[in-house]
Amino acid sequence: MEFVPSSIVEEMRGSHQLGIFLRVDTDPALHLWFGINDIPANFDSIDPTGTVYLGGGRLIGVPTLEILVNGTADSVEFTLSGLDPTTSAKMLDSLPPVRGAAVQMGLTTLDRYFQPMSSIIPIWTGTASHTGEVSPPVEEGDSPSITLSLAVVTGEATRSRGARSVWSTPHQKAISLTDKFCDGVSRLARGVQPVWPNFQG
Amino acid sequence: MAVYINQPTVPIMYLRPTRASFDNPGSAIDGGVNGIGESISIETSGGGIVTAVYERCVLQAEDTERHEVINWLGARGNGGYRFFNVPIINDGIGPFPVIDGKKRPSIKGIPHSDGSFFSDGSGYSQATVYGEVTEAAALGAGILKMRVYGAARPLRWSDWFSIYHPTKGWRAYRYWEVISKTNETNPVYTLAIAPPLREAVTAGTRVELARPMCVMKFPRGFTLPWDYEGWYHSRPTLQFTEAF
Repeated sequence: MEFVPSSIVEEMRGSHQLGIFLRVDTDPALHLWFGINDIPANFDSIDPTGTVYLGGGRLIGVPTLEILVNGTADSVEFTLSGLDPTTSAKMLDSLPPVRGAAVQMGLTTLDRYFQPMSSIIPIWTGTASHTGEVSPPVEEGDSPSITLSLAVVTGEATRSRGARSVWSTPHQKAISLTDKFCDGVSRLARGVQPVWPNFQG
Repeated sequence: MAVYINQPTVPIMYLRPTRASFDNPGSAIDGGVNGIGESISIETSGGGIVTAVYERCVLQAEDTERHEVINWLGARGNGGYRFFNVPIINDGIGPFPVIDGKKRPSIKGIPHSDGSFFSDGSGYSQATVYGEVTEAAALGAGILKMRVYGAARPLRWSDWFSIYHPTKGWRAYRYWEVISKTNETNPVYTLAIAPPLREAVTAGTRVELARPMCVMKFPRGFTLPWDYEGWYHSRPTLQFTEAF
């Protein structure tokens, strides 16, 4: 079977209903989806018995999700606004143990009768790092809003273990002071064929 | 946690609105356009919420109690964190029988079994048409099976109805497709509903077709001022959205 079932792909070719699901593996796990009402759904093998995903409000900021490539780990922030009291209370209650929890993001389409057409298809996995709560000052005429955010990093890197963003000598020496492994990196560039040094003799 | 049950009902007939509007809007986002500028739509709300608007309620100078009700609505509802049960007035449209020359969603003046009435002369009242869920349906279900009693016409295009959920309170739904209908006096309908069920229902749950209700709050940005012209004339407009 394909990773994304062909029926889902077929559904997405035309106008459709999309469900985007977020799961944070806290204890108890937080299940959220980007619709309004609560809905029963599950990730295969993660929520094998099925569970209820809470409606998280009408609009939630979905960041651009990137995956770990070539040592560049991306950190993204999920933001929620328009929270109902239940959801925000549950989110805030789960603040202390959130660090290091696995975060799964998945999607599936809903059929004409609002039923998920498959198990949730996991498309992105990350590790929760830290949360933020923002309630910016508002001017007269605007209505105040609370935005909760959760910084999530891809792969294994959290703030205490910085990701190596560049393979350069200073970065490598910061980790291992005497290591010359990256010393020759500055000679590398696209289209250049560096001469490999011969240390013998 | 927000409480959706035991909310007071808005005395909407008493306030005499002259215009009403009920909706279940979607919130589709654009799916990118093709060569001729048309796009597919991607609906992400998962069924949307129910909204209601009652416009130009008629308040005259002698209606002092109606002004009190308007003040109560504003005092309770402003800010949108306290809820009301809002009736959806469908008396003249729903599948109700004609009794004494008028469509009647409910009959009044039913006496006790010995033929007597209450001390003020009134009797019991009862809906003329109601439904009963025949098959348990899960949370978020989009299909509901129910037996409808006493309907004067079949359910065919769409009607509003409501279900009282033990936790989520009164919720209003309407059907967008009659999937099947049995051939009986009180037929069992299989209906495709929108929005989806807010809470699981068991077989035997009562469905109200007469004057459905929905637990609602004032929408964001709406407040209800007590405002009037000279001689205490006023035509206030009430806005509600489904409570979550």
